[in-house]
Formats: sequence, C-alpha cells, structure tokens
Amino acid sequence: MAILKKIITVLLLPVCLTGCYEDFIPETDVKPVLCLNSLITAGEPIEVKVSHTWLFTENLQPDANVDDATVVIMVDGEEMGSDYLPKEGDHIKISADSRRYGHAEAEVTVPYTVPIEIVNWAPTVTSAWSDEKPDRKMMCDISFNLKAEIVVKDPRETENYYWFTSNSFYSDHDSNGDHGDGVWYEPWRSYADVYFNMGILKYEAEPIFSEHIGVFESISGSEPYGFSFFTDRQFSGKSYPLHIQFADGRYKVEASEWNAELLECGCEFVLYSVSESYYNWANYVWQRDEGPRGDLSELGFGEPLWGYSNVSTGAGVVAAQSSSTCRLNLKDFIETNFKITE
Amino acid sequence: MRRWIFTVLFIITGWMGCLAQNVTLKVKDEAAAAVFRSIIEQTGKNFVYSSELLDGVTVTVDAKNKPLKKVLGEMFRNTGIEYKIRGNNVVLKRRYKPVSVRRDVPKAKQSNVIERKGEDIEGAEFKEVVVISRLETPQVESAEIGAKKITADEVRNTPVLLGESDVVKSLQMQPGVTEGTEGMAGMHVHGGNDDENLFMLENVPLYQVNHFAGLFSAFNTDIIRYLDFFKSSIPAKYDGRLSSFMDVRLKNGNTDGHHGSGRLGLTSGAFNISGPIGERTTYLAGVRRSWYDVLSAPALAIVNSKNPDEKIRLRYYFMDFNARITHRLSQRANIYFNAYYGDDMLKSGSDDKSDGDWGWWEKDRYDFNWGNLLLQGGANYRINDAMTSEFTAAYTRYFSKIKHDERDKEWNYEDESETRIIVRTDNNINDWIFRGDFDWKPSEKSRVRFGGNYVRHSFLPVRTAREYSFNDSKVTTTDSISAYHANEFNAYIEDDMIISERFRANAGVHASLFNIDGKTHTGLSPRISLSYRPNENVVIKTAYSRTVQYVHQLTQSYLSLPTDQWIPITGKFKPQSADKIAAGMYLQSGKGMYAASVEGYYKFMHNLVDYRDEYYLSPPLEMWDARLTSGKGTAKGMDFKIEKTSGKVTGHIAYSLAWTDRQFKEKNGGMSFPARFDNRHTINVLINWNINDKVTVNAAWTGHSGNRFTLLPQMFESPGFGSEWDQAGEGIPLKSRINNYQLPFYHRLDLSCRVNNRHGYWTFGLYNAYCHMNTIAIRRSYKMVMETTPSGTKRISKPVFQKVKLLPVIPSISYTWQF
Repeated sequence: MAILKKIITVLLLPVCLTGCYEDFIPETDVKPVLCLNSLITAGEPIEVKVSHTWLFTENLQPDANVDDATVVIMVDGEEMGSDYLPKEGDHIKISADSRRYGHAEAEVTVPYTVPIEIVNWAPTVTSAWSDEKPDRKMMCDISFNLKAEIVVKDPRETENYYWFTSNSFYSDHDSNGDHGDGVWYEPWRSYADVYFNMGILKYEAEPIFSEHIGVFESISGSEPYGFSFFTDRQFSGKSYPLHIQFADGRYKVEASEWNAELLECGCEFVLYSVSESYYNWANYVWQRDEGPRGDLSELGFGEPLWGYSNVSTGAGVVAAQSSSTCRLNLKDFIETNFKITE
Repeated sequence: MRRWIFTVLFIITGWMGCLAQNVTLKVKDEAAAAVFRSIIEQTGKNFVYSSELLDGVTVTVDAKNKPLKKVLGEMFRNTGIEYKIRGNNVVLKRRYKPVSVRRDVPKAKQSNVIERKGEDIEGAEFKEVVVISRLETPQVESAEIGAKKITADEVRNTPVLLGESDVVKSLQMQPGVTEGTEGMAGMHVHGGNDDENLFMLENVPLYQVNHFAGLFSAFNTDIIRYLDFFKSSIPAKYDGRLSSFMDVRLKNGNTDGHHGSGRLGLTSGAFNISGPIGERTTYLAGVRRSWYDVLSAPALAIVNSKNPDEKIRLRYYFMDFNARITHRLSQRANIYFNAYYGDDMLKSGSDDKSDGDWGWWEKDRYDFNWGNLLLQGGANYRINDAMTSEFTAAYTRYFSKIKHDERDKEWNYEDESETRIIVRTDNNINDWIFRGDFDWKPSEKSRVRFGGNYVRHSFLPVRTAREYSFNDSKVTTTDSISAYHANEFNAYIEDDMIISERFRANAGVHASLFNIDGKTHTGLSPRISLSYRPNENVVIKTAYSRTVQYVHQLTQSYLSLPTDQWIPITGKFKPQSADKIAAGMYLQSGKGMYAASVEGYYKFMHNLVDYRDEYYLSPPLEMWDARLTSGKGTAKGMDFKIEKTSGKVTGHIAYSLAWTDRQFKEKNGGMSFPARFDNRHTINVLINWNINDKVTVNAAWTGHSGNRFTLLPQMFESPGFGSEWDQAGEGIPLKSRINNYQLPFYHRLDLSCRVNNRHGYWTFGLYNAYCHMNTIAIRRSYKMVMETTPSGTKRISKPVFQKVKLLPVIPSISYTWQF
C-alpha cells in the first residue's frame, strides 16, 4: 500500500504540482556481469538460470541469456553432475564462467525440514443453505471462517527461516480454489459441480507474519498481506503456534446424486524451511512493493532500493528450500452443516 | 606630531534585532549613548560616531511609535549633533569641523572595548574616534574561527521559500554550510551529517527543529534576538555534536510599554507582544501557526463533493509558542523563565464505501503528532565586578505519536464481517538539565569561562502496539523495546587570553561522561584557538577542536519525518567523535566596512553510525544495532568570504571548496565513498540594499555542485521463485557503488523586498526568481513510446531515468503590523 506516497504527495502538493520530471540518459561506465538464479529443493534436480545484466535504459526485458557459460555445482566440496538430487543439509556452491561476462558464484545450504502439526482448529459457519431439486439431489452453499493453531517445532542451534503457505483441496481435485468444473459422470445424466475455497488468509492475525514490519513501515500503512515469511528469532529452539485465520471460506456443491466423496475438502498447510537468501529475497520484494522505501525512492525522497543478491556479482539469487505439510480435512464439518440445513 | 585616532569597536551584547523603524522611547536627561541601546533593540540599526562626540551629551525624548527619523531629530535638537541614516547605520557628526590636534589615543578602559593603536599622521586634521555599536565582534578582533553571530535582522533579510524567514536557512548561506534537500531545513556543516548540529534555544537543546517535513524550522524569527553559530572553533561550553552548535537567544521584554507585532503570510501567521509588568518584570510572548488546514479545507471539499463514495481527509498545521518572563531582583541578580512548545499535527485518511445488499465501507485514519516542549528557569547573578554566573534548570521533551486506524466492513444479504487494524507508535526523549556557568575576568587580559551540567536522559526509541480484530476475535501485540535512561555529566573551562598586543589565544577543555545501559563512556574534548595580528587589519588564526556525540538520529528518507528516531549510543557502538584542525586569515578594510576571510579545515570523524547496506532485511524486533554499522569519515576544504558590513548595500560573497567521504564496515563493501553532500564547489551571494528608509531589497544567489546520488544503471533478471509476489524475468536493479553519481550543478536566485509604512511593513518574496528548476534526485520511470518495426508501429513501454525537479519560481507576500 502506497499510503506514504499519498501523504507526501498531498503534503507537498503545491510543490508536486509545479515539479516536473525530465528524461535523461546518465553517463555511466559499467560492464555487464553474470547473474545466477536457482531455487534448490531437496530431492529435486538443480536448475540454474544463467543470464547477464543489462542497462536499465536498454530495454524493458531484453534477451539476457548467456550461451557460453559453464556451470559447476559443488556439494560439500565435491563437484556433482547435473543429475544430482540435493539432500537436506547439503552445502552447495554454484559457479559459472563466461568469456564475455566473467565469473559468478554463490553458496547455499539446503535447510532441514521442520515438522508442523495442527493442534487446534475451529471452523464457524457464517451462512449455510441447502436445497433439493428434481435434477439436483445434492445442493448446498456453506460459508465459513476458520481458526487453526499449527505448531512449528524449531530445531535448536540453527538460525531458521520459514515460509508458510496453504493450498485448498476438494473432491478429487487438488487445486488452489478455482471453480470446480462440472464433471459429468457416466451415465451422462449424473452431474456434479463442486466449488471450494478456504477463503482469505488473514495475515494480520498472526503477529509473526508482521515481524519484518517496523515503525516506518507501520505508519506508512504497509501491510503484511501476502507475506508469510518469518524467522525463528522469537522462538529459537522452541515450539511456536501459528495462529491461522481464514475468512469467507466457501463450499458449494450441486450434484445430481448424493455422493459423500464430494464432501471431501480441506486445506493443506505447507511450511517451507527456506535459506536465508530466499527469506531476504522475499523481504526485498515486499519492501519494494509494499514498504515505504520503494515509494520514497520512486518519488526521489529516499535512497534507491537495489535488489537483494547473494551472488558474488550482486546479480541473482541462489536459494534453497525443503518442506513439510499437514492436512486439515473439513469433510465432517461440511457434512454436519449440510445435514443441519436440511 | 599628530596622532590619528583609531577605531573602537563597541560591542553591546544585549543587542536586540528588530525590523521596526518606528520607535517608542521616553527618557529625560539621559546619556545619549545609553539611549542608543533602546533604539538598537527596536530598530536593529548600528550607531557610528566619534568617541568624544557624546561626552556629556544628554537627551530628552518622548516618542510613542514614531518614525526613527523623528525620534533622532527630537533627540539631537539643540545638541549640535547631526545624524544621517546610511543603510543599517546611523552616523552621527558634529555640525562643525573639529579642531586639528595631535595626540596619542588613550587606551580604553572599558572591558568591552577593544582598541586599535593610534596612528601618527602629522599635519592631518583631527578625525573622529569611531564608535560602532553593533552586535558581532569582527573576525579580526577574536581568536575564534568559523564563529558567526547572526541577528534577527539578518535572518529576516535572507529571502526564503514562501517568505517564511528561517534561522536554519539563513545559516545555509554561510560558507561551509550546505542545505539538504531543496526547500528543506537540513543543514550540513563542513561535510557533517544533519544530526551533527546541536540546535539550542537559550542554551537548552532541541531535538526536533523542523516543522512540515523540514520546510520550516521551529524557531519563530519574530521573537529572536540573535543566534550564535560555531562551526570550527567550538567554545569549551559546547559539546555533544560533531559539526556545529547553534544557540538561539530570545528578545527580552520591552521595558517602556506594551509593544508587539502581528504577521500574516501566505502559509502562517504570528503574533507577539512584550512589555513590562511593574518596574522590574518584563514579559514576552509569541505564537505562530500555519494556515494549511484552513487553505486546504475548501480544496478538499471540492474534491470530495465530486465523489460521494470516496472522501479524502487531510488536516495539517504546525504551531509554536514562546514565552519569556524576566525579573530584576537587584542590580546584581535577574531571574527568568522561558517556555517553548512546538507542535505538528497531521491528520489524514480516506473513506470509501459501496452501498447496497452487497456492500462495503473502508475507513483509513492516520494521526501524526510530534513536537517539542521546553521549560527553563534560571538566574543570572553578578558575584562581583569580575565574575558573573548563570544557573539554569530545564526540562526538554521531544515526542512523536503516530496512530494508524484502518477499518473495513463487508456485508451481503446473509452475513457481514468487520476488520480493524490499529497501530500506535510512540517515540520520545525527556531530558532534565541542571547547569551552572561562570564568567570570570581576573584581569584585562584574561576571561575565564567555566561551568558544568548534569543531564538525565530518558529515551523511548520506539514502542509499537498493534491491534488486529476480525469480527469477534482480537490479537494485540506490543513490541517490548524498553526505555533507556542515561546520565550525562559535563564540565568545561576555557580562558580567552590576550597574550600580547598581537597574540590572542583561547584554550579550554570539555569533559563529558555518559552512562547508559550499565556502560560508561567518557570524552575529553580539548579546544584551542590562536590568533596573530600582524597589523590592525589582518589576523591569522589556527584552531584545533575535538567534539564527542552520544546520541544520533536515524532517518530513512531525505525528508524530516516524525519517524526519525533519536537514539543513544548503546551496544557495540562507541561515541562518535571528531577532530578538526582549522586555520584562517582575516582581513578588514581601514574602517571595517569590508572584510575578507579564508579558512581551511581538515576534519577526521570516528565511530560514525549509519544504516548498513540492506538494513531493512533485519527484522525490526532486533535491536537497532543489528541494522547499523560504524565507520569513519573525513572532511576537508577551504571557505572564502568577502563581506561588506556597512553602507546602503551590505552583503557577502562566499565560496567553499570541499571534499567529504565516509567509510563503513558494512556499507559499500567496506570501501570509502563520497558523502551525499560532497559538494565540491559552493557559492553563496547575499546582497541587502537599503534603498531608503522605506524600501529594502534583498537578493540571495546560491550555487553548488550537485549532491551525490546512488544511481543504479544496471538490471538483472528476477529469480522468479514461482509465487504470486515474484515475477520471473522482471528486471531488478543491480547494486552499485554508493553515491556514484553527481546531480547537475544547483543554482537559484531568491529575492525579497520589504516596504515599510506607518504601521508596519510588507514583505514580498520571489523564490527561485529566474525559475531554474533544480534536480534534487533521480528516479526510474517508464514511458510509452512509439516503436517502428518491420511489422508496423506499436506503442511500447520504455524505461527511462528521470531528473526530479521540484520548485519553480514561487512568489510570496506577508504583512507585519507593529504596535
């Protein structure tokens, strides 16, 4: 939210009304360098994207691929082939060389999975409706909110970074809450259409999702919306219950026949253990898009914000992650409320 | 043999600057020289006359708010003395030519008279002993380097943005001082940072001296008497900042009636009044308030009337209030009480709504409130003819409160939900100050100043409370950053010595102790200035000073915002310190009308504190130490100044050649980089032209090498880690060397004109008179351009760098009514 920009603009309205911008091309003496980007996931092959930097004024999105680069992957000091599957705890060094753009390297350690557990959850119905029609034997529309406590057991003696996220699942689908397509079962007269969405994750409800927000960000109206990265600084080596709240969840079904399987729905919670570089990159993106520094720099009233990088050339991010999941099944909750409304 | 008379510079330290050309005066058979003091206080004029001219001359005058000319006419009627007003000077002469004589000039006896050796000019006719009653000691008369006493008149004669005279902006015209972002009150002295300047009101520090994002300073110029400014030779009395010290002194209340003035300008209004309460007590009160809220109300009403579903709320004002009461207990003792309260209030927000069965509303409110409170009581006591003392107790408080309240509600025909987020932030500093200062003249050749003080600091760097509620559930969190209490002790002693006729010296030391968080930091700041005067009109000086700073300000923008935090030295950091050596040569013309100076300096700064690169990646829950890095810096340069101090046209031309850099462990890869205000060349020209008694024109031209800026010319490909907040392939700015780009040369001309009338005066101003819009920053942007390709012409978005230019020519007008 760019409220700071609004405030400053309004405060300096007379100034801004008379101010102006003038395009120019600065004289700079810079050479393009190599850029490395890679997200290493435990158990998956390593992919490295090698590109080169370009002048801002050159083009919006030029072809930055580097054809002559050679990439070397070292794991715990040993060179590995491209088919190597990284493991948790691997210390990986990626280096690349190009005759034109020089050398670049970055290191990262694949973090260990940290288990999560749902210890408490409580959905509440905000509205429910059901009906039956000649060609629709199973019809209902239930809106609900959900509170859940998910415990993160932080390992001792390491500095850990996390990213919490969730995915809805329902019926046989495993989507992110898109409308379910009507599915025609054999025989053709049988019809089922399920829609399920966990609703909006209330990032503000869990204080730890706001731990990156300081005074400067708070007063400028920056919100944690969309940002669920956090660190273990406040609970290092201990368990921490994440207070998760969803609002405006919805389950809707229309089916020609009663089918209990269509009630299958819920949420899969995912806790990624991420490398520091991943956390820093996400934090940078939030600062740029939501934080006040991006606005100030855009107006010319603050230092420009450069992109985070852990690559030797300052270009690109080499990050790593591993994940653990747990499932919350809402089938019983939906079924109970289905019956109540009947 | 005839000996020619010399110039005596008579310094009256109780001078009170005032623009008023009307004078109120009631005296009967009083010594003329004594009456001048009252006129100087009311008009700001200097009196120039021969020393024997007024021997035995008494005057009687009864004038109430009469023009100066009439009052002078009445005063000197039947005295054989005539007067002429030349610019800011009132020159007095006998109506007849004096008799030619030859004599040696006796040494002046008065302690505040500095004499010049008589010259032997045989055969010439007798000339006048010239006495100039004015505020500032000429540079050739003191051992100090880089000291400046600025009168309220000079402050008002410096044309500024929106016609709002401002002490900080007046200082920006001095050599070695550069302004911050255009139009703002930031000040950088000899390559120092903004927070390295100590601003004091009657010797009590103020932490936040800016109103309105720095557009105006906290000092109401209508009630200022003068200000002392030190940038090279720092008197031992002052310490606690690295770069400069500014002490603003207020007027005393009038003794001869209740007088005051009211000012109405485009952006603010002010009213002040002073007068006697009985025979021994005087008062002074001044209040100033801005009009922005009044001016913006109709504009907002128009904007809001166009869209009933969306309303913008905005209300801003600043105000400050000063009061001073002085009471004369006896011939030896005075007591006084000062109060200052400055307050900025900004309330903004918006209301959006959408009615209907499926509807919503959203209310957003921001309340910002920040300011200073200062209460001070003190006593001046003359212990004996050689020693005076001052005892002060003061309380100063800086506060900043911010509240953000965001509410929204959604409903449909089935249900409704309401969300509310409240964030409250507090930041304040409370200081209790107790001090005693002594001024002792053991002999004609020595003046010793000594004293000490104790300061109890309480810092609350930040306390944030967040409250989130969604329907019936509520989450409240408070960042538990505790307050810091610190004890600071200071003691100082200095001696201003006349070693010989040609040599003067000022030597002193300031010792400090700062106890915080179980740690005790100590500082010893020696100061020495030496001057050698080979002849009457030339003096060569050199000085060394060390300064220590225990608090610093953290700011995350180029503006002065209420989120800027003053925090003490804690954790791994050591007190900041600076060692500065300076040397200079000062020249003045025979009659002191012209002065020229050249000063050189080299400053080493240690333990500087700044945000480290990408500091924002450290969660704010950690101590601020984690976001900071320490380092060092240097500043060196030369200041040149040519000044004309009397006559119809006065002013100066100043040029500075400077270099300043910084080096921090965790900034710019540990490499040295130029400071943002590394302005190689700075030229300031200030001209005040008193056309006649009614009209004065002022012009100020400033030009300097552009500020340094961090330009990020290259981009790299975003990693695009696949989530919604991160788009693959997008260009991301590549880190670059800090302050690698210099903005274009900055220059502008400001003009102002004051026209006096019977009841007051008009002030007309023109900021940036020739409308050269200066670049204050560089930003990245995108613009749509037509691109022709073999397949046709299409509109594409093209990345461009843009120079941000803010202020064009801005006129201003104000009227000041005096009574």
